[in-house]
Amino acid sequence: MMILLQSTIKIELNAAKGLEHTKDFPLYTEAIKFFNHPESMVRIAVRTLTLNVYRVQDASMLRFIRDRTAAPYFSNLVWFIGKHILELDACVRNDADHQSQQKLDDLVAEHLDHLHYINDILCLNIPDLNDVLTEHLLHKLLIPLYIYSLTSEPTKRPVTSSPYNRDHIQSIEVITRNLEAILKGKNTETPTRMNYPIQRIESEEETKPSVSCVVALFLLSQVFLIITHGPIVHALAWIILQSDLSVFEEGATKILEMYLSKAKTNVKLEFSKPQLSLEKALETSGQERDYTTPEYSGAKAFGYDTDHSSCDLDPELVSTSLPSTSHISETSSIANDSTEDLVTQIHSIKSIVAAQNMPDSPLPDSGIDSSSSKTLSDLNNITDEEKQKLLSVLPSTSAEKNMSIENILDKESKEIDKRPFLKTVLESLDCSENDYKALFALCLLFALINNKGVNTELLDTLLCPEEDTTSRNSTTSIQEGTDVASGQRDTPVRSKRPLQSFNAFLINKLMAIANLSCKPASKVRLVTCELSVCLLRVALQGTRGVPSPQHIAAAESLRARAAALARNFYKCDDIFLDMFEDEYCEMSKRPLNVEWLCMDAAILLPPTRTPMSGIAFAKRLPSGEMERARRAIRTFFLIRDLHLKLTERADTQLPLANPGHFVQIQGDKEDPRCLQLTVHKPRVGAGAPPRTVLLRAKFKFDDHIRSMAAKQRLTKGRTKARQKKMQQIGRLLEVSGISAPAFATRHRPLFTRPGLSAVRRSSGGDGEECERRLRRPSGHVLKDGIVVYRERTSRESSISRSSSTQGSREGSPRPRSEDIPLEDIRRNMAAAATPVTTQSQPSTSREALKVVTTSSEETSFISGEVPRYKRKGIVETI
Amino acid sequence: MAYAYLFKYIIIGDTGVGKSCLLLQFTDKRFQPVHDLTIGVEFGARMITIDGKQIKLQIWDTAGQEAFRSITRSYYRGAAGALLVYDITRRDTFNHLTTWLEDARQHSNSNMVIMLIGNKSDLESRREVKKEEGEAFAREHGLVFMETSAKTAANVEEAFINTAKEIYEKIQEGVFDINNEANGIKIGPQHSTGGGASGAGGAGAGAAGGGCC
Repeated sequence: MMILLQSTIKIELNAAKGLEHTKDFPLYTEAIKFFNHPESMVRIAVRTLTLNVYRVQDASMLRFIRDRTAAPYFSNLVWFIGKHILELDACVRNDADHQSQQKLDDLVAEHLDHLHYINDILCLNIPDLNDVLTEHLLHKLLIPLYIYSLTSEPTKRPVTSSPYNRDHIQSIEVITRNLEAILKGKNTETPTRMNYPIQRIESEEETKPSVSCVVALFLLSQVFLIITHGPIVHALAWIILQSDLSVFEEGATKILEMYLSKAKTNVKLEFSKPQLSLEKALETSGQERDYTTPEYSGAKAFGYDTDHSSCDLDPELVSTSLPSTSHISETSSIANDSTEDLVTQIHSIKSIVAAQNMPDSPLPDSGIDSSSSKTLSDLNNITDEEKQKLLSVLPSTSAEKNMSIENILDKESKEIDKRPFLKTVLESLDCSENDYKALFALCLLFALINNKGVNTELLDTLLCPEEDTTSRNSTTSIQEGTDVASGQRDTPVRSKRPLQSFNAFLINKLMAIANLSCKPASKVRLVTCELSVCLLRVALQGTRGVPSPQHIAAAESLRARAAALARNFYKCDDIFLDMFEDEYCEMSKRPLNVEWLCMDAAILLPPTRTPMSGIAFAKRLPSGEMERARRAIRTFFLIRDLHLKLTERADTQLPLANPGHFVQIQGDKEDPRCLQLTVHKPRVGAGAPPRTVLLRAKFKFDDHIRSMAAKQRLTKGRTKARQKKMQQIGRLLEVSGISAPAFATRHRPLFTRPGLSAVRRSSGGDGEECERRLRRPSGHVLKDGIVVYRERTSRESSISRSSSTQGSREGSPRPRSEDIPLEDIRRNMAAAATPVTTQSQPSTSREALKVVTTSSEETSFISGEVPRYKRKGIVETI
Repeated sequence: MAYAYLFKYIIIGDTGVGKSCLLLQFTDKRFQPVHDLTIGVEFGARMITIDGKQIKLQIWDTAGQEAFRSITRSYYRGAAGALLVYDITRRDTFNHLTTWLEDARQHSNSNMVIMLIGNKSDLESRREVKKEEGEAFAREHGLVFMETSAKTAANVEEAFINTAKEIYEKIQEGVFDINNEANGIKIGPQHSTGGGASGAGGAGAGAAGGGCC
């Protein structure tokens, strides 16, 4: 095989182009036969080659590719992607105990490869190819397998037994059929086939392939994160958001019209095996130039383990005819004339819907439209009045507004029943049991909202509050004119009627997740919390960019709840403070990246608690008290951040200290009067790379006593700074007993004059040690070598011990640097002197250096508070 | 064709640095001064012995993969070792190393062994990149470094074999999951060292048949 591949592939492009009159292009056709080769490098080579061939954009070659190979190649490609995800699904289903994570990783990576490959093709912008590819993807994979799988739960079915409950099948199959009919359009050649799907569906009930809802959500998230080709993502988004039992036909037509007008639509909407293997198809297409054979009749239903065709050939697949996808259909207007079958179906669905949800609306045809717009305008009247009130009245007292919101919510939750796919997505957000599914639903919503290919008007379904939709209507219809993607919606009916909004429903669900996160025994992982908070912000800001007062109030109470949660862990100890700062640092340094999140196969397995799983902390549940504290702190940060952003307030309280430069001071082994000062760039996160040294300098004091005095001063400053920080945290978390800021801002100078420090110093090391212990509020005296939860701490402390001079009592093994309130020092210094950072010109002030140093102390100076050293002695810049 | 392990290598670097020539020199022990631009993929294989074990090196030289994200992704993912090649007579190929390395690090599995190769060391008179610079770059990024000449075959063997040794060591340390083929390492069909004949090129059919995806 490879020999063949090698020889083929070496043919140069030009040579191949020379063969163009023979209507063959062996380099390409031979290569694509290996697209599913078991050797990954061969698959990669095939992909590389095809992409490079497409990129040449040679007209005759592209024509050849489109006419002869596009349909067979893409249909096979799509088929194998589908098989692949069924394998992935099986892997997820059968592995609850995280055993085959490695295999899952591969399968997920492979799926991503496929999507990237497809996206790379689509991004080459070759219209003919894109049409064929889009059609295959939508008809054969994305809709029948990915989207339909959204509905196959909650009836969790074993792989083999009959999957659906009766009602469920009914609605889904009806949708399938209808959508299919639409996709087929009104091609005159098809009416005889209208009855056909119904029979087939009966027999297929049990074998119809689908993946679990979790996997479907995950895969769709990936699709929306990677693919931006408008016709695909917009169609998918439309189907997810809008497909409604009643307006399904009309809507789907509208959406799909655009590309249907170009591509032949005579394709069955299902995930089925291409009836010819790629090789066969290529052979046949070589002989038969124009193949407009109508759709095959013997579509093979796909069963899980039916075949393990190792490569591209499938012996079973020698069937009668070819896919007819490359035929260019002229029948572009499919919308308006239905066949009788279709009409009856529509009517029956509508009456079902009416019976269930809208008993008062009589509805043939446009009945639903008018009734829903009526309710809408009713609501709108209420809210207009209420809006006025809301501006003056406190949101919590506005009971009437509450009513109207509840009304909207009520209405939306009724409406949602008519949107099978959206319903599944939104109901997956329920975290009461766990957040397994919710995370994927959030990913999908996030990806959907952020996809450039999705029409913004469509997203209003989620993002635009109900009361806005009608008022915005006039403006949207103007925008529509310019919007290419919505160009097909210019029928008067369309632009008048706003899309049903599910904004309130979505907000409600997201709020519930955030709320649950604030419970001590919550089953919501941090990543879920972060993502829901992120979406909540988008959803609350709506299209106006301003959240309603009521929502702000909700966010406020949410913040209070999160603070209460974190308060449980508030302790006056060093570990808590370090954790607090660490978490803040982590959060701000590594904001959520959904694309990376969706590359991680680990999230496909049910949420776990143990760190042994190797899953990152944010993606699992906390284990142990320490992690619970971290989780509570992080949750508080996230929700506080939401509240700040919604109220458009700048963060004035966090971070606790300005992340300035870190200063490390070390005694000199040889000369006790010397102190070495090193300034680093701040560390990034916990797993930090080696720090960059900005400056290294050596201070020489008059004697070692002064040097020790300096050290002592720093130590006290540090303790002070930590106390101040704890108070800041206390205020943030609203801990009772933490009073107004005044306490913290006043700094009592520790030593007012050098003489005192000298006296103290003479009292010897024990005294100092005692004093330091006393100063520490809790029992966590971090002495040398004490177990601190970071490795480097103990290492550093031991270094400090060994390198410390007689002047340094004990290297305080603080893992982090602190702000040292240096104002005191400054105040006590007589005159201004050279700041540390300009030490290239050593100052030679007479006064002895008062600034104190701790041996091996890491210190962060607030940039504005760089100590003004007045000192005598030399500074060497190393 | 029995082998204990199979390692997949990839060769990366700017166009014209001599990737295909290195491959040819290693697998066929010959040099072809005028080489066509690689289209698609070239692939070679050779058997080497490390620590008394037969190890098959399978080296993939794929052209034009850098233009597409999908390809870069999967290309790196499936390899156990990578030769990152620059041309000592062209400064720009050296300057692009950072980009190559970033790509490799981002997409490959973290255990992939990367060896930095300064090729065309026979063209001393036209040298633009000092050996020290290559060494410094390698040190900074934790790579193994070597200057080679595909023309004179200087250091070519060593480059491939040293990389293999490092991978082998990592296997011994248990860093690689050798049961997962996606790492670019495969355990041989059986551990008997019967055949032992070293072969080159076109040997993949057997291996491919044995493998199952």
